[in-house]
Amino acid sequence: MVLSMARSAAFSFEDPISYQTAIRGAAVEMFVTVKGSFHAELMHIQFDKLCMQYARENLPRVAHFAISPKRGGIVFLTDANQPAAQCCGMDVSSEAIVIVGAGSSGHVRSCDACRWAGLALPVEDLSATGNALAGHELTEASSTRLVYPNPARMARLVRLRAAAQRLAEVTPDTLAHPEVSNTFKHELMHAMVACLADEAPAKPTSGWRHHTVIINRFEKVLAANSDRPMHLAEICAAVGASERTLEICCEEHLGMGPIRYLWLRRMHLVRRSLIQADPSSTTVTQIATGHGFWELGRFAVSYKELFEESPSAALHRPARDLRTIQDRPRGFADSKFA
Amino acid sequence: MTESGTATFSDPDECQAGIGSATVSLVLTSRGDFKARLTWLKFRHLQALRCRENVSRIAFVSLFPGRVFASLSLKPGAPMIWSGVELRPGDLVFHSLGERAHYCTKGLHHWGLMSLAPEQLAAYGKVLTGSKLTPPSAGRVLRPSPPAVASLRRILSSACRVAETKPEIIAHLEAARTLEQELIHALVTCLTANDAHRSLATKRHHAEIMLRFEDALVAHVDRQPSVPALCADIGVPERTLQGCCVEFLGMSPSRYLRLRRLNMVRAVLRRADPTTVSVAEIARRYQFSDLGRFAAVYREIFGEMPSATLRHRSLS
Repeated sequence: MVLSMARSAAFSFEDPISYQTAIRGAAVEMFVTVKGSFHAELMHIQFDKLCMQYARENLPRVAHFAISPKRGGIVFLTDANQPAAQCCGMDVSSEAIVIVGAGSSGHVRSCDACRWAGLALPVEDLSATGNALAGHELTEASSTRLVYPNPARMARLVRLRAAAQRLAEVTPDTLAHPEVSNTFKHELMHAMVACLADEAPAKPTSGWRHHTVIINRFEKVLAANSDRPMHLAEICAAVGASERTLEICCEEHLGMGPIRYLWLRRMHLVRRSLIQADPSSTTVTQIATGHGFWELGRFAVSYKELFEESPSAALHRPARDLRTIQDRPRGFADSKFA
Repeated sequence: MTESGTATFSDPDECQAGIGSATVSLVLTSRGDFKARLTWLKFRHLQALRCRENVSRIAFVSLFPGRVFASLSLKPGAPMIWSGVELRPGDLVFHSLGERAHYCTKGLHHWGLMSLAPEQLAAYGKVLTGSKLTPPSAGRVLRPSPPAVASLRRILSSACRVAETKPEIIAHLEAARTLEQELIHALVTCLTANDAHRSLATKRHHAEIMLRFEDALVAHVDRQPSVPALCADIGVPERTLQGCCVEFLGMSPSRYLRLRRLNMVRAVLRRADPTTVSVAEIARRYQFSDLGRFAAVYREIFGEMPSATLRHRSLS
């Protein structure tokens, strides 16, 4: 048997744009929903084919995720005392596990600071592991489900995850040892399968399924127009739902109405454009009007309130800020959260 | 492509002409130096207009029949009477196609008018509310929720302010698209509101009489008709017409006729050449035989002597 050693890396982010691109195995688009300076830390540990991620974020946010069609796995909150998050309109407490099938997508939002972890495997390994250890498939392609595992098994998974993180932070050399790495991989996979094997899935209601269909169409429309401001009427037309229905779905899945969400999305699109634009040839007015903001005074005030920075300061910030923050791995031990 | 513009008028006739999507005839009813500022926005689907005026008046409005209109007051002020119905500050009038009606205002007044093609209104209604929005067969007074009205007012007022001060922003494609969508959304939300009055059946019957009254006035364009002659034309007793005029115009028919003639004289005086025509000639043409009394009444309403209006042209 060939043993490979685990590789770990930790990153720290001051910006959701660079944070979302660093999350592995899924395309994530994230909007922070309150004002404040964003801060997040992300750790990857690759145990051969098993990928573990652990993240800490300081602000509530809503994110749309699209899991890679080649990988599937689980996501859970790591701290018992943190407030529940919502995934696809379902409340996710720290006692629950979200099973994310390969190719699935949805919204996940937090109401406060959040700590979460994910374990992912290539689909064929996931399927083989399930069949070998539990006797059946563990995940279903393109679907997101919620399970409440036996608390003792859940606790074991949480403990193992924390131990792997500590090892990566404090003595990365030990973790890099093939024997240790391999043991961790097997223990983590066992713990994961144990949690999923005796799942008692919550049966989704037909209303929930209908809303999920609508919200998925909603995200598809947005994704197809990723650089363009979108407005309610065209979205209602494309999704085939009235404003009232869309509002119910958005409240359920995004924690806010569609108008507010579309506005937040435009604000983040503007922000990205401002940071990436060349201040010598572009003005804030051009970028703001290009994203449909026609009351510039009001725009500047809301921008400052949301991002704690004036739009012109964002424009004059060097674009490479986004990359440098992301490229600099560092341990969690000396981080803001430690 | 979005078009926007703004213009200030001191001549009611020019102001009437500035409202492109409707035919308006204005009768000023109180003393004051008339000033009106019109600001308009023409988007791909929606057209919007804001008017700020300062003098009490009665307007007889004929809306262009190819579009669906809605109007509302933009600044809470003195009550406004539309087709005999006193409008509360948050009321929105959903007009019928090609509607003709009297609009009376007192003093300073800001109002907005928005329109969409019927098929666009139906489409936006369908998409946003799930059911078609069609223009009513007779105008309706809607009372939307206060936040819905506040939102429509705010967007329309800000949009006009931008059109007046920074029109280049509205010329920007994406900004115009967002603004139009925000306006349409706010408008459609207001148009789905409930009626403010249970039934306007009696008002509608009276409104019919008032339309016949205006038609009769137009038919008599050359000679100024008397109230009994008009009643005979319309086919209603004098008492009925009296009641309708008080309800719709806030005054008796004879007073309205006189004010109307005075406004006509003023329009002619403004354009007349003082070297070839006299005040007396014009006044007589509109059946003011007692010149001294005419001049006094004229001054009471318009704040200046008729001769001053006539001379004004040669000065400017």
